[in-house]
Amino acid sequence: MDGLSLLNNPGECVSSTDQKEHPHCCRLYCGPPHHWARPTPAWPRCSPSPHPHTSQADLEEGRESGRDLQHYQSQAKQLCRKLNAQSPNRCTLEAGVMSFHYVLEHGVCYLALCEAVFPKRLVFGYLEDLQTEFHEQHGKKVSTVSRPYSFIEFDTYIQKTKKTYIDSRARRNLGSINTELQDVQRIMVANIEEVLQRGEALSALDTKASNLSSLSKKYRSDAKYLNTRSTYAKIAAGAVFFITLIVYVRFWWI
Amino acid sequence: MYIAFPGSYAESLVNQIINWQCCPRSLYSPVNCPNFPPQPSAGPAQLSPSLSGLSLQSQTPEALRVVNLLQERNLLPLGPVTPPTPCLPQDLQKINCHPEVFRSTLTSIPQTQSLLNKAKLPLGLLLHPFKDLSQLPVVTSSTIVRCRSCRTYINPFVTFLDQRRWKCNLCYRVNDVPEEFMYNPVSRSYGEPHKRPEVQNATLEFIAPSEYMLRPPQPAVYLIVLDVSHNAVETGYLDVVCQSLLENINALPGDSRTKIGFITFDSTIHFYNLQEGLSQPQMLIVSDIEDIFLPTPDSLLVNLNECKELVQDLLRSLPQMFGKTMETQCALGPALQAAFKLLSATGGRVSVFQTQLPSLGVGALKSREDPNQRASAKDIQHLSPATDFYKKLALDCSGQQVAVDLFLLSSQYCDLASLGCISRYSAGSVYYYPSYHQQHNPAGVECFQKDLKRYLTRKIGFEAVMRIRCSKGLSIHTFHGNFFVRSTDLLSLPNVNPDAGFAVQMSIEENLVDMQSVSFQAALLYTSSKGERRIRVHTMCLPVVNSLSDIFAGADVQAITCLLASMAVDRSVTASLSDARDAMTNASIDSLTSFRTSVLTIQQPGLLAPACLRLFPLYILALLKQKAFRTGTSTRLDDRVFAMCQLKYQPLAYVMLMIHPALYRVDDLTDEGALNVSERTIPQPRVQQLSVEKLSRDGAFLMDAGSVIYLWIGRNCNPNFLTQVLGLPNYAAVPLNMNMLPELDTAESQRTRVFVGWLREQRPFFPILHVIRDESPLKASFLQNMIEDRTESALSYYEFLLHIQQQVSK
Repeated sequence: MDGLSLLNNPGECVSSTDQKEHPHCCRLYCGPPHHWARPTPAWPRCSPSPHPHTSQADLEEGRESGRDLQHYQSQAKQLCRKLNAQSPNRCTLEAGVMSFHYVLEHGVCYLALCEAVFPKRLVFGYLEDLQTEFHEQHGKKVSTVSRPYSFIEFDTYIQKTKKTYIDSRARRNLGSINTELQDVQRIMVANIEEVLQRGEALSALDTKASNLSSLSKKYRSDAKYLNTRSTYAKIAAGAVFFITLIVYVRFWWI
Repeated sequence: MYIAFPGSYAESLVNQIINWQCCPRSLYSPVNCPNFPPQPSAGPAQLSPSLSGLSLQSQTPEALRVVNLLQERNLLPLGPVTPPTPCLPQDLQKINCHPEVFRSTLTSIPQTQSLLNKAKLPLGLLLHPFKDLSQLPVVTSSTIVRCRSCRTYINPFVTFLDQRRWKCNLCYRVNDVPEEFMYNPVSRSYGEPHKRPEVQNATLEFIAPSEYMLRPPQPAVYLIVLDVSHNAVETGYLDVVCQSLLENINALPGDSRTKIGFITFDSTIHFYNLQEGLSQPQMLIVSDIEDIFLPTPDSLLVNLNECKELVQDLLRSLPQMFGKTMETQCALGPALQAAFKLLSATGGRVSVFQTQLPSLGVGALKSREDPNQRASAKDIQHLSPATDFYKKLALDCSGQQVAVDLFLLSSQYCDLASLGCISRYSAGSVYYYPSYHQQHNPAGVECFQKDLKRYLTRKIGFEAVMRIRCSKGLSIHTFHGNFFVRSTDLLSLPNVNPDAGFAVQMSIEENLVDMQSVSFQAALLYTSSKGERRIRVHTMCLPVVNSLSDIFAGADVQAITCLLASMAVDRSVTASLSDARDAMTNASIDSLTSFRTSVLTIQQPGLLAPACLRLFPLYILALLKQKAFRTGTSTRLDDRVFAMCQLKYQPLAYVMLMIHPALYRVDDLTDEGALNVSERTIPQPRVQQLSVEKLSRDGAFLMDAGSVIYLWIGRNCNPNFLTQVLGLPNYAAVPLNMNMLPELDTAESQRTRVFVGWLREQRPFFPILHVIRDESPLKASFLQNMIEDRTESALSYYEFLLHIQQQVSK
């Protein structure tokens, strides 16, 4: 099975606001995701040249069309947005014939996409490998960077490691993983759609709640307004009555 | 509050007039003369038009001083010609973009197109956007402030309406100042948006956030494609290339991701497997050149750091590998296709070394030059490409962010007109070494070595795009240089290098009434060799004027000449060479006619020109005698086409030297008026006119023609100079091909070498020095640069002036 395809955009960017929302999630995946998909009008997107590395994976697989890959990319981006301190730090997310696997450690997320049948043990071995190396090389610098793709040089290591894990001959030498990752079966499995939608439901609830609160605010102000209006009306009626009374007394009674 | 132009329009007009009178845009002054500050107030009398007219007559600005070209022979300034300074308020001029980076043909922009048409001067910009700069402010911020409607980057010439709003100087839209911009990281203070570096520097660089990335920044990728046919091996260039690469392999710009690959070709294509773990490089030969494929796609481009030893192994053995080859055919087209396939996934730079006409496979060419017709032909044929294969491939390359640089080392015709397309549309560069041979042409070899060193180590930007914006009302319509225009105004530059220049032509679409100034902004987005996405922004501001005399006063003769040269190259390809020559001559006639009829109030006899345009006819004549445009003299077609390429993509400073070389007398160098640069005293001899009458037999003269420097020794040259500088006993001992000045421990030798060294430092390529005397074979090319003299086929300067005068006074 040679179909381990990786969304290995080893860039990262943590803007200060991001960090507040997700204190432990600093993404290895790609720049601030909420910016990712926004078109930049001044520099129109040129010929849609696919990501060089994913396209390589594309060729290897031969059956994943570019469009599917884009779909997975956008899912991955959404996923990165969802991850926070409460997320499980190792998880497998099923997405049809493919699965996402991620490891969340020291505020950095390591995410891999591969065919669902690809041994989980290997994927997590691979991700742990990356995690250890990245933490050793750049771990201290993570909090200081401000530029997207600051750690792009790490890509060389990612590519090299990927090759050894894909290569079935080299895989035999990785026997150690088998023993180290005995508990790999206990890693949580969820469906990517569910995970992404759970967030959506929550955000829907959030909008509904904020709608409700704004509506109730409006009701309150409206009620106040009505109250004052009726008070004014009462006063006005009283005033008219008294004036009539005075005029009546002044002209007819006397 | 920040106001660009204080005062009402009338006041500013007055200011302008005064400003204009007391700003001597002297071209004579040896160094940049400072622009005097505008006078703050004006007497009421000067508001009256008649009086101001009078004062103009009595006190003409230096730029408009009338020069009778037929009488004044010595027009050259003492030192280099300096660009005119735009008439802007001093605080704006101080921060304006440097003229070496951004230059306009007219430093005062006419208010209307009809006014521009009347002046008969071309309107355009000359840019050198990626020039090596010693000081460049770099800004890192998460939001880059740009105009919401025209996407202009915030710059020093915008207006702050109040603390919270700024007005774009290109489209005049009012924008909000973002919260983040209120904080000034330089002074660490809040609430001073006009003190931010973005608003203090006309040239600066941003570190781009991820919005500016379509994909992760690409690594530096270099692919070397080498011709190894019999002809190529014979010239011996492989040694130089491999040696240069070996020496500079650690100086190649890049980071730990840098990739490198090699392809060689004769009648077949050879790939080199350099994968880590191999004991030696593996050569893979693909002989099917009809349908090219990559034998092992993964291991042909390898990480330079990890496979350095294999790469070095290959470079050491490559020159010997083909030593006995008998293959004379050469399949350049398929090799380029293979290179494109190899790089299309990442993008990068392809360096092609080619020594003969490609003869096999796609893109094969036939000789189109008839050497007997070189001098006699009425019009030059074959300036346009013979096949569109190279252009099409270049466009494919451009789409995949691949640039192709062409090194042509040939002794015979190679059809540069066709081959050059591969670099032209993929934003590469072209180098041409005629009659290259390791033994027979040592000067050429040295030049190639030095150029290659610069080429390999210079800065490089990948996957770049450039956009030039200008104020509302102006529009850019034609671009010159090496690039592909992707959308109307977006230049696609797969690679950008610090030696590339660009030119654009502009027209005035809407009248610029009510505007005191207009601005131009060039923004270059690129990926550095370290994988950083950066944006370099240059902004230039120029005043708008409404009188013809002001337009003439602000004319920049060098910029006009360079723009005309680029336009003439286009004209000679689309129409004909004679058409282009006529057009250039007419350009000078038209503008001088316009000056005579519209600006001059008192008609005098003679050929009258404003002081700022006094060199215009000389430069035009120089262009007509330039390799690219000359007729009547035997010029090889490739030489001509190469000169045309250079005129199109070289920055202004180098083009000017090419057009009008500088001649110095060097046998009597003194320290008088010398420059002092980093503890060296550089003598500054006077620039002489390019005429044989200026050469005296008892002197030694140095001619700096950009890519070549000649040192002419007179027959009766001062013996002191011969012994002290050249280390030779007498004139007869001067060898016929001498390319070096000996390092002698004398003051004269010191001065001469410092001076030559200083000239060489000013340009990125390496000019060869030829010491010549009367018997030298190179004397002819030295004398061809004597532009003011008459040759059998071309007019002398005086005759040319008479011709122009005749046309002007018609």
